[in-house]
Amino acid sequence: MLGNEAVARGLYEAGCTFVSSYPGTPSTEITKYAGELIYAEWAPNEKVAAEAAIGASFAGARAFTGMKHVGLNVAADPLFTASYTGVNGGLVIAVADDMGCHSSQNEQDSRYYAMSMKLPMLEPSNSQECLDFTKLAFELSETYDTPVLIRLSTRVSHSRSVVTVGEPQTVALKDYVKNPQKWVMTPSAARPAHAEVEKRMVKLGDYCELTPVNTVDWGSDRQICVISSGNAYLTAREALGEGVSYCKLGMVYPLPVDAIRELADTVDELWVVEELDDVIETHCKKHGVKVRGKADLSPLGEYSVAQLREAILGEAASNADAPSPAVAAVQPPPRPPVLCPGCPHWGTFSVLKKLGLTVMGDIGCYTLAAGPPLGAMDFCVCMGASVSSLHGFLKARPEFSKKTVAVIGDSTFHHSGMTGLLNIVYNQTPATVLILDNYVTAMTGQQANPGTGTNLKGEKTPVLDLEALCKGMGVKRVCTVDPKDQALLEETLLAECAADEPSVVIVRRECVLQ
Amino acid sequence: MKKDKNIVIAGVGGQGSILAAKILGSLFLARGYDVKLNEVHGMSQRGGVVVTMCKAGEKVFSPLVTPGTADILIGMELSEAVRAAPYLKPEAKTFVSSRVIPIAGQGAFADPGIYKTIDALAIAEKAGNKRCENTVLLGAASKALDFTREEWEAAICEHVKPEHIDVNLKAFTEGQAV
Repeated sequence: MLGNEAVARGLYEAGCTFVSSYPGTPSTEITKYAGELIYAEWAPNEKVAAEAAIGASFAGARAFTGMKHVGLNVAADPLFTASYTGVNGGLVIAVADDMGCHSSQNEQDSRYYAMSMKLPMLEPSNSQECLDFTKLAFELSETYDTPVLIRLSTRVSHSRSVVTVGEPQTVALKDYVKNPQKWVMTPSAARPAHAEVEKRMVKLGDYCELTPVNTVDWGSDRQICVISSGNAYLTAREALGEGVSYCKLGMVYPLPVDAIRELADTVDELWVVEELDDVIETHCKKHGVKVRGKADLSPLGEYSVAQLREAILGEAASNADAPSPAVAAVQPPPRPPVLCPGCPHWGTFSVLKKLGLTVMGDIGCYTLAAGPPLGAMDFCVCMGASVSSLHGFLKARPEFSKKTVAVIGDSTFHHSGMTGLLNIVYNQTPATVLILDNYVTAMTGQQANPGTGTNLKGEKTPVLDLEALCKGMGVKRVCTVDPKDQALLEETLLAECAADEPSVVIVRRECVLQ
Repeated sequence: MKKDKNIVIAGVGGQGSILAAKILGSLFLARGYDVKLNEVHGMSQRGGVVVTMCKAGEKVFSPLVTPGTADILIGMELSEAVRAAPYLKPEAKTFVSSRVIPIAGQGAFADPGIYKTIDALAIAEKAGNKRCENTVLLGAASKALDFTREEWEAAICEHVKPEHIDVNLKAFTEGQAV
């Protein structure tokens, strides 16, 4: 079973009845599979999804939202305060990190969110743990009155391993009782709530010393012990073999103190093997435990077996790890991902390139237009940034208004492009925004969105009227063009860039994969 | 104690390498092996490189095949099979399609001749569906794997849609004959 599918199975078995998410590789399949078992929906963005899940928890249901690491940035606002309110029905949030940037714009370490939100965080390393930890997360959530984070990663989410499934549990809705002191986070409620959060973290600190998900596997000698979690643990096991001892942490926040001190007293050399930042290592050092880690290991990407063997066992990389000169000499050039053959937006970007426009790009398939052979994008930061950044760019360089556009997909526009457009109208820049509308969230695998006309379950829904929406925000110049009609698109872009007021060009055609 | 078996499937997005890996996974699982598969989703699938891995053994930890440890290479596309060469053991068995999918903005890929190749696309077309290149190559690779015809059929039937089973079994048989 795929790691993500196992999380979905865990939701089902735990009696979770509400799932709301926004797609994002590598987290998407959790919600897709959940939709085959229980109620699940695609929300317009991660903040909406998290708030919907918080609402379902307040109502007494077990609720879930899943997202990629950068999605947690979007959902952070409600979750920081949900930490204070606590839960009624259990509330679980999965966040999938992307060590190695397989399909992301950064490789941030989401464990910092657990620390700063003061929420417990579990980290599975295989599909069975994905299922088991999801169920455990709901138990912890209700026992300790806290939302619980589950940290996944590209390898854990997108690997398949053997899973033994259990029976689904039916969980009755918890009663909803009006209690403003708990649910209304005014400053006067927040101050005592914060004190409760600190008490909760002390209790969770006790729990993590003894939790069955933190395990020690003694090796054949007691020289080296490695503290690790998630995929990094699997790589360490593979690299270092049975001679070394392993302390595998299934709970990565809070972290045990006594258990680690005890470990340090038992072995000659304690290592921390963690991908990305030195979260566990810093924890150990803060508590006076001598460990080795990032001084010898990279904070970048995923670890390789060779890297760990060299750093920890002092073994030079074996010849087998490096391609022989004969193989190295015939290596083909890189094969970058590109827009699909027949994608209508080859036409869109060809026109942008031909006109020599500066393009503020966004997150989606069309980000691929930045690379060869199109090379028709100048900036890309995060979801929605094309529209908002174009405004700032033009305030700083008004002379660029005739030759600069923002390009954003329909789903990304729903996600967080709309507020940027509102700002363009409100604070008046003569910006030109292209919305590439293919009626679907294509990059992550063709998920339905508010412009599709169906929901996650395939049921019919109202279709968002983009033209009316933009006009309603006060954009006077709104037009719609078929990207297959390159001559008309070129003419339209020239006219809209020349205009002295905000304009929106909706470039609309169905995705070629539909 | 079951002997470790590491298989690498190299190709380009959309060639069906995940299906091939699932079929391999089922074969080993049915024999009581621990199995892990690793696959690529998202951006890299858009016509980019797809390296799928199947690891079987008594107990498998990492789902990734370490360079220099693959026993078998299934190359769905020639240039990607060449790129995957560092994964192989010196004695690895290779089953590589002669098909070349051009890389955008690059000239033709010259076959360096490090593999004996199979015209999997032509064989799949002959069997009745050019999308069965993956089962043709599995048929070829079956010669390096110790499973019976019945086991292969069961694994293929588990993962292929019912309406495509016949053509896939035919493609498998044609691949075996190479």
